[in-house]
Amino acid sequence: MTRYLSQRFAALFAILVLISVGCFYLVHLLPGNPAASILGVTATPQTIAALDRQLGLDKPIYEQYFIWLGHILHGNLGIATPSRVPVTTIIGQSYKLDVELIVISQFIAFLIAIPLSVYAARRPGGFLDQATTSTSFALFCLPSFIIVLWVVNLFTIHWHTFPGPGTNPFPTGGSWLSNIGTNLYVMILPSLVLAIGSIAIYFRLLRSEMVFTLQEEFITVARSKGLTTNRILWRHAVRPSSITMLTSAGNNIALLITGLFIVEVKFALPGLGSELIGAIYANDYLTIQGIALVAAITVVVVNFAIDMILPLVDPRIARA
Amino acid sequence: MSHVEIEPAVSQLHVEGTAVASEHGTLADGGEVRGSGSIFIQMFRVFMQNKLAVGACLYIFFVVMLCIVVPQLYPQHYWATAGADYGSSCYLPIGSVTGNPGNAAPNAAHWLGCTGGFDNVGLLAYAGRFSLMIGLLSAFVTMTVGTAYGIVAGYRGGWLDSVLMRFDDVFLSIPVLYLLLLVITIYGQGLWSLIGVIGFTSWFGVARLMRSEAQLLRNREYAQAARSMGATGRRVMWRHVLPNAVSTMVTAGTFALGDAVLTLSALGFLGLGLRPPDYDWGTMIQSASSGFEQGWWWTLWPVAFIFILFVLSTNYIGDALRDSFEVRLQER
Repeated sequence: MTRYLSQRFAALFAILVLISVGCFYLVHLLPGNPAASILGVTATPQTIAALDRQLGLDKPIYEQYFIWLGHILHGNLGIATPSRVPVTTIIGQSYKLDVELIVISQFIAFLIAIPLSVYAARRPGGFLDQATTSTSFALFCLPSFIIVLWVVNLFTIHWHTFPGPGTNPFPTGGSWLSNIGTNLYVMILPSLVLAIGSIAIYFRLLRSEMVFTLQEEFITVARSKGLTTNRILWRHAVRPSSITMLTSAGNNIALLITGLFIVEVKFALPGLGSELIGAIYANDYLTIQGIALVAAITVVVVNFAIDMILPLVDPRIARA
Repeated sequence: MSHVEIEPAVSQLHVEGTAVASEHGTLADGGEVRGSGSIFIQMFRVFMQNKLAVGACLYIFFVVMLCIVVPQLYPQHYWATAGADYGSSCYLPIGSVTGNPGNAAPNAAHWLGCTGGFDNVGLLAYAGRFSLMIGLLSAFVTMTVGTAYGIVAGYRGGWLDSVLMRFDDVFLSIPVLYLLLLVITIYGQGLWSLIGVIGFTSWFGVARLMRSEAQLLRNREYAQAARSMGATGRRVMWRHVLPNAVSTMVTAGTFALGDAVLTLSALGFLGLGLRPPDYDWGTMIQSASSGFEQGWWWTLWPVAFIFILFVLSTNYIGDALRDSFEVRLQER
């Protein structure tokens, strides 16, 4: 177990260092001089040189990296060029929204995918199995940017079931309870769209693992002991079958962040994706850098956390 | 979109695809197919038994033909001014007009209706040309870079392998769309830069796949024989390992094509695809989205249909190719 933990920590550290170097170097890849783009049209060679010195851009590049790293570790990501707002403030606001979206969508995905796959695996090839498997294949193949158009059209424009794009997800007036209610009401549709891809992936993985597990001998033993089917399914079979699904949940986080862009753009939610696209249009290098850093770290840390959870679900993993 | 994150689920699909095939008596222990004819005929036979994949091939042939032929049927000036006249009056006679002068429901003259002043059939084929071209070329870039990287890492092994694969890990941990958006900021939204951007941001999974393939192949008898006759590592890699990895490459390339078209459309949806007068299916979907909310269903449905079926077809064909290459793996 100690060996497993130390290996994971070493890998985490190495990847974080590489990510930081990558994000730092990214800004140097971008065209033009950062000082010139910060100063805009009024820049003169003198003011550019002065700002270069002020930003430390005249120092050697490795020295710049360590200075930058020092700033990052103190929570200073710089100041966004057009709005003069600290990048950490921008990211903090949008990150909150994204985390909420991802958490709700994953909750929905697990809530739908796990029971469906458990009962579908009970009789492989049965009616429920065939219906759910083909549905999940269809869902898996539908790109989220087309789903989102259909869903918005149906639920907000035709039926008015949910608030339309552009509704503020963080209202300030009203009691805290009504604020939370409004928040959930706004978030449920984007989360659902985000969840669809995950449902298909989780369903497929858990279902096929369950089919294999249910043929194992310990299941036969449990059955011959006279346990009920539900108890065998939920207490004996789900846990050893869920490893692949949990690992894919880690990989899935990168895919979800891609989905976030689409959902945010269509629902006009102020998340990291909308901020990034705004920053790209505004040539706002520091915000781009900060968002890339935060997104990459999120992916790595979530994967790390799942690596930590896996031995709890199946102790054989840490021993191997 | 990103190939690798989907991989576990996709490979799950393959498992089931094989199961279905063996139900039809295709791959029952490989025994039935091991009949007469050369290995290619056997592979072809296995492929043809997968009805879904044959249908997918026909569909892709149909789409390619549509994209080649249909734009030729429209007057040349129509395409030359596409984009410049976007949203205003158009060169083609349009039937009943609803709201926007350029949007008409399907009628006898325009089978799929009109969007923004353009006939949907023509626009679909015109945009398809760009989508298919970008998809093909960027899949080519993906496969070239990924194969070279993976084979070097897998064949050389040792510290080089560890270093190369750690970099691959880092790239894989960055959400591909972020990488795409960042690189697009640097290189712009032109045709060639989009090909490069999509190609160079999607090879990480291919590299991983080819690495394990090279690790497998470098210990085969023929590779050992070549080495014992004094062949250099470079020669063994490109003359012995690479040709034997072609089946994996073709399968991965088919998926890469579908993924590239999907990625391009996602970019188009975010407004970061091609700029008029160039068009792709993603840009069409994006420009359809506002009209769709006003009830102009014909702006979205044709393009969504043709595009989803295309991506689906590449996946079916990839599955079938993998199954038919199994025949060859059994011979090896």
